[in-house]
Amino acid sequence: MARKTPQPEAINRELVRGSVELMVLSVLVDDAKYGYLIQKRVADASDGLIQLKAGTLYPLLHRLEAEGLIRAKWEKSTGRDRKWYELTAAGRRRLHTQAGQWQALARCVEKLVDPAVAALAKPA
Amino acid sequence: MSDYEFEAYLTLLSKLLRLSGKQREAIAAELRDHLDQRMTELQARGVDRDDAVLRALEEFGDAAGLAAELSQIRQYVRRRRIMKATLTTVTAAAAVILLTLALLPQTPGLDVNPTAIADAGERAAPAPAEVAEKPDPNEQVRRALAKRIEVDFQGNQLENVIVYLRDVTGASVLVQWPFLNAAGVAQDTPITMQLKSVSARQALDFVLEQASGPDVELGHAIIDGVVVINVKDRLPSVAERTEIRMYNCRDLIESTSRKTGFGDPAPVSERVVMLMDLIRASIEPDAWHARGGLTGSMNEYNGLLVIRHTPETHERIAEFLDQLRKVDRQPVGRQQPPRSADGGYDGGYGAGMDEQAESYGGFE
Repeated sequence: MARKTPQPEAINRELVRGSVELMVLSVLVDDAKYGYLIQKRVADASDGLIQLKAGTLYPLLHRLEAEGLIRAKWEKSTGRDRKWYELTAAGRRRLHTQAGQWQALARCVEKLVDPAVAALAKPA
Repeated sequence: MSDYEFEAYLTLLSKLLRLSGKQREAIAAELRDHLDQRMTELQARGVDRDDAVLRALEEFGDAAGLAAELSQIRQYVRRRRIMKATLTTVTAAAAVILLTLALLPQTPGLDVNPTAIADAGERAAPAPAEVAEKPDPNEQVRRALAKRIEVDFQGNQLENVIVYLRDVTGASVLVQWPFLNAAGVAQDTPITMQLKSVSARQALDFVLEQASGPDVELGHAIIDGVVVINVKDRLPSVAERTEIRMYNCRDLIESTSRKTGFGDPAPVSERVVMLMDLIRASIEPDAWHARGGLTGSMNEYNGLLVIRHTPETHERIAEFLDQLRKVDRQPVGRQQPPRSADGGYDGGYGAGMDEQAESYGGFE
């Protein structure tokens, strides 16, 4: 159950760091996307709080490709070559494993944080 | 200025990418596409073109950092490919040698066939060099890391500390930052350490230990001549680091048969089994498949032992066989027991050894 906390203006980089790979794999689950679109999807999902820098996103995409978790193909789109990424079978397995871990972590944090926020709301 | 800046950024980035022309073009094309889309979007929102270019470039961040990361990933991929190819080559070479031996006319007894395999009786140099005929890059790195250095870090950033270690040793070092970052270890993790005359390897391990968190353990592995730093779970497991080396043990098998003081000589097949059992029992006894272990395997063909194991264990096997040969050639009664109780044989046998070895010469 969510308690009232102020809407953050940004999310600490350290908090985001550990989940970037999972976010990118999740964005690719149903169809192929290119870098810019992946970046936008994450930004939209976070109400603009998480802006993946190109300097983070592209090395990550290339690493995932090198690991065989995603595969890339070039396709012409509006007269320009565009690199599309899609999940491989190994990527799906990784997504499945990581998602399970992330959900367990989220449940744990929520269980601890919610009562803490409630306690903060009470006058000292 | 707009398009000029745009192009200038991409040109700079391309120059910084230490990659082949084709790869560079592909990366530049991908990033250009991204920048274009971002600019179009900003302009659609009413931002004027010059500002849009500046903002898009600003969001992209530092070209040098991006280029370095992308180059590292590509080079890592390339090294892995080379490593796989090398292993395939070694395996293929082994197959060819075995096939050649199988096709050669069999002569009675155990004669020495001219092969690329280490000749018996000589101190076995690192075996991959004999099979692949090139210097072992990992051995070069091991030597670089054995160098004694001095460190004085006062809260220096991990990233810079590693650059320092790389520079003083001259070893190629690859830090897999995306994995370290994902595990919560940042480039700017402070390192404080003062050590006088420590091996670079030890210093590196101390640094990685200090940078490790309560739930994350960093480590390094030497892969195809590169010191790879990563979260320990992500480093290649022992099983992935095994390699095949071949040992010509015909002399050991032969000389056993010549011993007459210990009853009738056992048949060749039995002596081979005895030698293999001896090696397994003496070196990493728990790691062999034949003893229920997971790492090492050993097969014999015509007096050649074909062994798959880690480079470290190969070194020990070579040394062990070497010692076995030395003792084997000493006159009966002069054998010395191994010095250590753990089965590790030590060097330093009496003078006259070399003479003995020489007079024994290439066995008939």
